[in-house]
Amino acid sequence: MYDIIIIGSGIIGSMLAYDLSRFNVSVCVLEKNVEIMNEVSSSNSGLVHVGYDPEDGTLKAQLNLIGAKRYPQIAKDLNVDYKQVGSLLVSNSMDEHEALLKYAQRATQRKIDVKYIQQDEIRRMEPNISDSVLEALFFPTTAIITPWQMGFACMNFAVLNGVKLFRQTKVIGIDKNEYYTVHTTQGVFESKCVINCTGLNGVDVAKYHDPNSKHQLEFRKGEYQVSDIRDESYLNHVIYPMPSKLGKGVLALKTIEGNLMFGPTSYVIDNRYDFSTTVNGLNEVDSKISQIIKPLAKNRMIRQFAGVRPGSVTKDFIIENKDGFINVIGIDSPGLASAPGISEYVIESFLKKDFELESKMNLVDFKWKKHLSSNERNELIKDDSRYGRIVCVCETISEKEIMNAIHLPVGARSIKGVKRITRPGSGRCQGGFCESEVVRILARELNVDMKDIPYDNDVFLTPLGGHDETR
Amino acid sequence: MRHVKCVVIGGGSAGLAAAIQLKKYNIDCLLLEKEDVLGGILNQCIHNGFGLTRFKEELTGPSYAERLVSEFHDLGIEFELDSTVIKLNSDKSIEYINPKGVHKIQAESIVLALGARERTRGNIMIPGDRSVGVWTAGSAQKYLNIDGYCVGKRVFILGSGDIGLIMARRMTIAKAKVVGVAEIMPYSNGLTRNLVQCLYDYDIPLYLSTTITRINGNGRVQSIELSRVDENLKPLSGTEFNIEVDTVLLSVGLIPDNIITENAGIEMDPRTKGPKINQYYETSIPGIFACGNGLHIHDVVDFVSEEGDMVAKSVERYLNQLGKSDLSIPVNSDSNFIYVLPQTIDKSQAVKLKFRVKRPLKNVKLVIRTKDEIIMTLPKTQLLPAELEMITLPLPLIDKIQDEVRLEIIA
Repeated sequence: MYDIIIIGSGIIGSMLAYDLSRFNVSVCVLEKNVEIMNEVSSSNSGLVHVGYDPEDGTLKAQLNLIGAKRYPQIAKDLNVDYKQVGSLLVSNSMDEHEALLKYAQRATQRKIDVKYIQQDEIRRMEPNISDSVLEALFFPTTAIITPWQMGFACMNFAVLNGVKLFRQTKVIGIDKNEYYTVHTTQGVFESKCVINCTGLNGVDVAKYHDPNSKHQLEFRKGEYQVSDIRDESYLNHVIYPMPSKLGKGVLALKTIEGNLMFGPTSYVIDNRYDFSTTVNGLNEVDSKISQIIKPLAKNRMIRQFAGVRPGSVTKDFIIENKDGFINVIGIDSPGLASAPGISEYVIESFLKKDFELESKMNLVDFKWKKHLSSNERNELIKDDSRYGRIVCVCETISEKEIMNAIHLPVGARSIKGVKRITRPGSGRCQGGFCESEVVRILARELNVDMKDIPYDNDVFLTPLGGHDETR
Repeated sequence: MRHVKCVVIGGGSAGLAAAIQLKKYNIDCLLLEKEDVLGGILNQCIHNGFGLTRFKEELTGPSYAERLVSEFHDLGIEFELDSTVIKLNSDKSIEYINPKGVHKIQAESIVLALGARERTRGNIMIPGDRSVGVWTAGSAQKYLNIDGYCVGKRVFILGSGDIGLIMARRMTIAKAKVVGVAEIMPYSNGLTRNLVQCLYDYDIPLYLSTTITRINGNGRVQSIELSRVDENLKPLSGTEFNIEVDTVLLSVGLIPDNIITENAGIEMDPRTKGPKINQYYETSIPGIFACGNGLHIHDVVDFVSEEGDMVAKSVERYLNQLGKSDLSIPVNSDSNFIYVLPQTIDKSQAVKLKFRVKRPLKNVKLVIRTKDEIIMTLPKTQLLPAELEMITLPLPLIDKIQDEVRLEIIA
């Protein structure tokens, strides 16, 4: 019996686990996938928006501000990457002037740093800005993070501090008697309270609790293109176009690691697991991005991907407590930026009323291992030469760093997991050189055969997966 | 900081040849190899067809490598394995990582023998699901020939370059069903012998002017959509057809792997994707030389090693400051060529020009001119993009050169 069951380990589940692990409540997290942070939370822009665009009076507006405010401290505590790179909201025509002023005014009301700038200054700050850009708002506090790094760090902290994580554990039904009984593919879990933060499946899980739930989600797919890190100097800030009713629009940013990322498009889709890229989508990214920055050579692109955002038809987050069953659904943009705000809101508004939350003493510290500098690496090699055996040449990742990723409290179990935690396969060769070595290390460390190492859920090296006898 | 006369970066077929030749010139060198074994990509190329020019016999990749490696060891040349160069500086200092530490050394001269990497799905932007089961042909080759895992049961191969063809045969021998090979061009880019021995002999269909326009399958690849392309290589709508496969191998080109070169500020040629060189294989930074697949993509390994030999000669010339010349005459070409190497020459000695044409040409004349004067005309019955062409300009013709050498094709 747990006090609280969190269903889903995307950024919301991970952030709640992180926050709750500091209180004297028993918490477990149920995740259906082999890795955490695996769906909506892994395929987005990775931005901590400052929060000028959500409409007044919405949860989005309220929680984005709190989230953006909390991130620097969380990043510091967990030693994860967080970089205030600043952003430019640019306008291409005088028709957009009014809207620009509206956002400036709203930002000021919300106490967000903002500065109106004109062409010369825009070009000085961003030499590769499109010629058609006329004016811009500069938001110095817009930040970038690596979403899965943030989520993994939160969940690792949580697990070190008593939260139980069950992976490959899919919820298939929920009963309420005196307590909640959560039926899963791995057996039954019981708790006093359940938090539903299941992203794409939010409404389905809500209906396990209340078959009459009227919530409705709309799934929007967004396609992205990613460049090689050698173009790092091409861009300095996040560049946003003017928002529209489709969302924030196709934006340009540089990731923590230095890849340029362009996207997302925004299309309503029927199949919520449609993570495919399309010719039209990628072309749309090209044409829209050229309105805000000068185009980058096509052959610099190393990857394309799509993310799916589960938005509520009400256009706001749905966060509600129904008799100890808390729905946190419809978390689309700015979900990542708002996550710490959402977690705080759930705890302050609901959980503090149902539980006597007392802070735990003697928390175990968890620090994310960031990418090593040459000096740090040289020191570490003295103790373990495997820090000097580079497996991923594109991103300079050693055998020992891959081993560390596997042996975290919430460690990688798949090629995708290793890639997220420590980046081999994210570079320009896309795993062409190092993938087999990564699989070999995973197999050795987890003591299984190479063919039984998953890429992702139930997908293995050979087509017959873990059952292939023909080797 | 340690000083070395010459550092060779890369222990494959180019770097080994260069180091061996350098030793023969009595130049001490240090060879750095990122893998834990010398020989480079040859180690996974277990098929035969290597060495006909260099060793006058047909060898497998590992045997070819072994020839070079044993000569290398016999000469007692210094080398370090598991050593990844992370930074090349324009002052010819080099930073590298290996299990002994992070090192910085100062070289008097450097040979870049960096090899190539394969184009990926992301590079050529194949749309579709994020399916597992899409590999570059070389990765699948490594899984099969080094680790012993055949990654597919029903396989489709995109690209009819040599690696794609070799893997069509290799996967078939490993009991996979290779359902077909698609080539976006109207002709194959592989060597004729590979087309015959790897496809025709196994009845594997080759779809010309065809490409993959979608990969389907949540989880593992389930099928691919193929489309015919028009003369501009754009997919023709209405020509789509689907084939059920669980694996897609990509053989869609190699790219010289030059990240450290670019970061050092060495001038690059967008056509070869390698550094620009003069006739001594010297890059825009004096004393830094390049050879092998890191310079431009070869089709035969023997010529990769030959470039290593040639570079060693240039290093010797550089270190002994023989015949320094500031003359830099550009080598240009018309639009029939993908590229011509070297990009510049001086007039001190005969020059071997290497080039590739953009499309197959039959019964044409290759003309080499300088300004208004034609200095050489060669009839060519056939020129193929798949085959690297080489011609030597002897000294008497070199004398005629004015401010430019230009290669042209006339009918």
